[in-house]
Amino acid sequence: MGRTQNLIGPTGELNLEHNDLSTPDLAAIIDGLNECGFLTSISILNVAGNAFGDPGLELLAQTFLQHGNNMQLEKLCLQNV
Amino acid sequence: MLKNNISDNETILRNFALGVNNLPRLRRVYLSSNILRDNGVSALLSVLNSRSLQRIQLSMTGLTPTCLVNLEEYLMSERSRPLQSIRLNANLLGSEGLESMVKILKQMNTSLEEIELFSVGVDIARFSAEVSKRSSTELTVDAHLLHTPQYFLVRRMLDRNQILRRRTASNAAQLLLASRVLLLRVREVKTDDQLDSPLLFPLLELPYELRENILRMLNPLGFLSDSQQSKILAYAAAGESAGWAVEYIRWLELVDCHRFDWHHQYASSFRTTDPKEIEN
Repeated sequence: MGRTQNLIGPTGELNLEHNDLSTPDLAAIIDGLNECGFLTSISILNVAGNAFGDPGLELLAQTFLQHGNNMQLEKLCLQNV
Repeated sequence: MLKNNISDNETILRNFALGVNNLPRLRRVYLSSNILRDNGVSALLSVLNSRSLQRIQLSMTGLTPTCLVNLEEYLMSERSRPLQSIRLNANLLGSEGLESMVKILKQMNTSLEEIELFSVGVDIARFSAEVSKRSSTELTVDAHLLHTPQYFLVRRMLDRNQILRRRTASNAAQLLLASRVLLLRVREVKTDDQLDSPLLFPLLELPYELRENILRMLNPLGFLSDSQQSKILAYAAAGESAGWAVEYIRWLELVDCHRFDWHHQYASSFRTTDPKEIEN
């Protein structure tokens, strides 16, 4: 959980670009951020160029549906770069 | 290295759009280089209804002219009201793509200020040459299209949209300023001398409805719709404050003045392709 918290930069940016993340990896990061209360403070989520595909997109969709109202997210990067 | 590889799964893309709709501050979504195809993008756009989304990137997503019907439907609807920028580079939209943008901007859309259509396979032979002018808004197309009438027309309408949005925002700020004075009553403890003296600002003694009508006259050019004016007046009368830390744009979003309301009663007078007509 502590390591997840340290991923967020001072401006609220969570940059996980090109980290070969699978859907379980993404789920663990989201759970960790949620547990320590940092999920709602992210302003930029960059998960471009990872490996989660459709299941990861569905996970993000459900996360936004569940917590979106309280989130500060302004920029979402999902490119397949 | 493995990549995101988001596919054209329509159910998941619809769910994703619902999730995006639930993010009140989301301004930018980048989905380029995923093979979403016509059906995936159409599914996404059919549900997308964000109140804050200003920029979407759908470059290199495998689009063809088949998706233009759904793209037009989205861009001409109220659901795209805050959208200022769309990138559709490297999709095989062809000449129909550029013609579609002309149609969208001519008929309804007043929010788009930037369109990218680089490398979409437009057939230059379909367009005749015409000199274009520089402008502050952005339309990025292949170099050989820079002198076509379609490019010139779209560029002018993007300029028009930018002017309409700026005028709406500045009129909103002016109206808020006057509304605070006329509508917000601050409780004061008056001294005995002040009780007998005439009011320094007699308009404050008028009934609320009259003061509101006077304020609505501050919108003679019609950049603000009735609905937008009502939201500003309600905000001013309630004595709410967006707070020092809150951006100006957030306040504009709160009172729905971050865009020109194409559907209001005076909107038809701005249905022009020449931004100079609005400036004057």
